[in-house]
Formats: sequence, C-alpha cells, structure tokens
Amino acid sequence: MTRRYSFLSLAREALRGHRGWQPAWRKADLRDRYEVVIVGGGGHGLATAYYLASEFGITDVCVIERNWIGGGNTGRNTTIIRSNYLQPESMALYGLSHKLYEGLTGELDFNVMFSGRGLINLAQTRHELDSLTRIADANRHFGIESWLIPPQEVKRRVPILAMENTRYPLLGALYQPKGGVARHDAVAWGYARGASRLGVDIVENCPVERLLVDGEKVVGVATARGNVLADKVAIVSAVATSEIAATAGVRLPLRSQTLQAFVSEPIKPVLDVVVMAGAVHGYVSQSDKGELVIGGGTDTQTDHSRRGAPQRIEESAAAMVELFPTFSRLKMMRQWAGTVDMTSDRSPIIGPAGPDGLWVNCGWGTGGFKAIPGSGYVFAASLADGRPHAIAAPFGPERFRDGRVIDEDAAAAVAH
Amino acid sequence: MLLISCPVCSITADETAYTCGGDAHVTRPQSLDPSYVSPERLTDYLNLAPSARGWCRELWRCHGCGSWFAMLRHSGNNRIAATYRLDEALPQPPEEAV
Repeated sequence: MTRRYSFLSLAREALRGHRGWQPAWRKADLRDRYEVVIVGGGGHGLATAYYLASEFGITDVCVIERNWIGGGNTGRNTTIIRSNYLQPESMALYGLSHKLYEGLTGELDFNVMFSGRGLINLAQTRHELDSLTRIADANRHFGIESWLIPPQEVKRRVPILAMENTRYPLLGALYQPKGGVARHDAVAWGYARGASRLGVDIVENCPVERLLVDGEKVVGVATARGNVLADKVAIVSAVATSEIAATAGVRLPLRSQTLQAFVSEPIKPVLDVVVMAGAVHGYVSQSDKGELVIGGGTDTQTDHSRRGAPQRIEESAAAMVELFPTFSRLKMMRQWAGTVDMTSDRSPIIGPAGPDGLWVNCGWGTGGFKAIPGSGYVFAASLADGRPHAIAAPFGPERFRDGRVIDEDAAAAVAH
Repeated sequence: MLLISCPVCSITADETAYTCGGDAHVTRPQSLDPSYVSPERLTDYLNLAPSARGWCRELWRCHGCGSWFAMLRHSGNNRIAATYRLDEALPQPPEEAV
C-alpha cells in the first residue's frame, strides 16, 4: 500500500498499474464523544484539525462537514495569497500564513502548487497611490517584503497592461514579490489527508443542526447523524457560523454577501503575476492550465443564494478589458458564486465566543484563502491552550464592543 | 438579477436601477443623555445585521423617482414578497414554505 507521495512511489505505482494508492483520507464514522469538534470542513477547519494533531498532540478531534470538504468558499475563491496588509495585527496573522504556505507542500507531502509569482496592486488614482504608499511603509516596518514600484517597472513586469488612452493613468503599484496563488482543492485535501493520518476523524455529508448547551456551557453538537459531545466546539463555517452560534444565543457580527468569480478559456501564458486593480475593481491571475481567473466586487444586499447578479460579472469583465485590451475577445468558460461572511472592519473573528467550550473562527469575508495555514495554526494553538494565541488575541469578537476594530477596509479595497 | 417594482413611482426594472441601502426599520439607539449610548447597544446597531438567512427587510432607493422604499425579500432564494413605502403598514412574509 502506497502512503507517501514521492517520485519513487509514483514510479513504483506506475509499474504496478496504480493499484496500490489509498484514499487520501479515511471516511470516518461519527463517534459519541471527542475532545474537540470542528464544525466546518473547509480549509480553515481542516488546517485547525491538522495543527491540533501535528503541533499540539490533540488527535481526539472530529471535523464535521455539511457537504463535502473544501466545497464552500475554499473551493470558490480566486486563490490569491499575499500578506501586504496595513495593520500590525493583520500583518502578523497573514504574514505567518504566507510563511506557512511557502513550506506547505513539504509539510503536508501534498503538492499544493503554491506559486509565489509576484503580486501587483495597481495605483491608478492619487488616493490609491497614497494609501498603497502607507501600506508599503507599514509593510517595511513590519518586515514584510512589499514595496512601491514605478509605472515603468509595472510595464516591464506586465507587458500586456494598457498604458495609453486609458481612463485611469498608471501611477505605480504595490509589489509583493512573494505573493501568488496556490491550488485551492489541494490545500483542503492536503490538510484533510495530513489530519486523517494523524487520527482525526473527517465526517462529510453531516449537517450540524444546533449546539448542545448545558447551563452556561456548550457541551456538543446535534447533527443529522445524532448527538456528539465535546469538551470544545469550534465553529469554522463562514456564514453558517452565526446561524449555528445563534442556537446557543450567541450573536456574531457577520453579514452574508455574494461574491463571484469566473475563468476564461485556456490560452498561452500571457500573465506571470497576479494583478489587482482597485480603481476599476478587478483582479486576475493565469492558472497553470492557462485560464485567466478573474474576480471582482460583491453584491450589496444580504444573500445566501450563491447566485450572483450578472452585472457584477459585467463590471469585472469591463475592468479586465480596460486593463488588458488584448483580453477583449476571450470567451469566458464558467462563473460561480460563494457567500462571504463580512465583518464591518474586514478582519476575521477568532476566539472564544462567550459560553464556555464554544470557539469561533469566521468573518474571513472575501480574503480567507490566503490565511488558511496561519488561521489554522493560531486557532489550534488557542484551542489547545484554552486561551487565544498571541496573534489571534486581537481578533476576538469583543473588539466590536470595545471599539478596537482592526480596520482593513482600505487594504482590502478590492475584494480579494 | 432581481426584478424590482418601486412602490412610489411604480416602475419595474432590474436591480441596476436601484441601490441597496441596508437593513430597513433599524434606528440608531438613543438614550436620555444624547452624548452617551452604551457600547453594547451601539455595537448591536453598528455590527449586528438583522438580515440572516430567511425573510429580510431592506431599504432600496429607486434611481427613477429618487425615493427610498423597503423590500421584503428571502435571502435564501431571492424571492421578493413585497416592496412597500416606508409609511405603509409592514407586509408579512408569505406563510407557505419557500
């Protein structure tokens, strides 16, 4: 039976007709009791389970997923990874995540196809240039490699970018050389495989209906397949987090909105960096298959339907054609939408939710994919320790009451 | 895309002819001392969205007549039960399963 993925195992299996491969993770049966139950099998939940088992020695863990793992926002984003945020708290969190991404393929023995190809955030108005300058300064102070580059260098790195007769002039760009993309499914599957091999149970197609509360304490969850008791319940399910937490009387400041993305037909390599543009509101990268992966803005109203409005696609497509006139005759292959859980300061909520035994990790909004490893690590550390990890501590839900918000609205001006 | 009828000027157009203005029937918390409202109540007002999955009431503005009005919409399937003027009695969501 082949367990490790390597050149040798690939060669051996090729000679044996590929009959020795095992499923990457076990289909576990739900038990009655666990030390930690994680509700939600997306990237953040699976990463939390993996680090609980690998770094903190807690293997009595179950990840309960409503549908299939990685099928929510983990499988719906545009896979952009960067850490050039504005606030120190954010730089610590996303910076840790970025660092973990760089070594993730080796750590998980699963090719997550992380590609630190460089990320360019265009400044096309005076105000954007000012705010990106501020971010570049903050990044420099914090030791995150990210700086402003002049228009000539932008043109050199992105030769197909329109420079003449444009609505907005190109004034420069914020450049993060190690920013990039990774394969979203592989991140979910790699963490699932790693966690499963360390003894974590992953149970798919099992909706959690409500929390089980005993007095002031959350003692488990009621699922479609019966009750499960747990010392700690961690809800990591994006917008569903507030619905599940509400069954224990906890209200979370999340707003559900629809965010869409789409891909073009595959073409030859034309773009070897990620380009984001706030003024026209769009972002694009080219996948290894050659498709352009394009995203834009969210719908404005509360929406759980996972069906976005066509005019958002039109706006994103218009933004792309404005930046890259050469894309104008490309066919778009498919479009999809996800429901993002927005907080008012565009920063996540990580920490104890109120009642004993209840923890949440949610509110990642439009930019959660880049944070999966760091979020999983600090959340696992918090769960293992029983108190928030130093990097997670500023992101507790009480910050909204105390007015200590971590304002990333400017740094996240483009939904990303 | 939502197809919306403005209850004020009675045109029907798609959502690009309107702007969503957030939750309807939400008022800023007041207290006897105008300079102080407790942080808990302000937090609720600023951060907690009453619109969860299910029927929600939102403000929308019509680009035609420039009026604000309210909409009763199901956020799970985007079905619109009613649009109504803000001085009208609140229409109730339909009772059949959605």
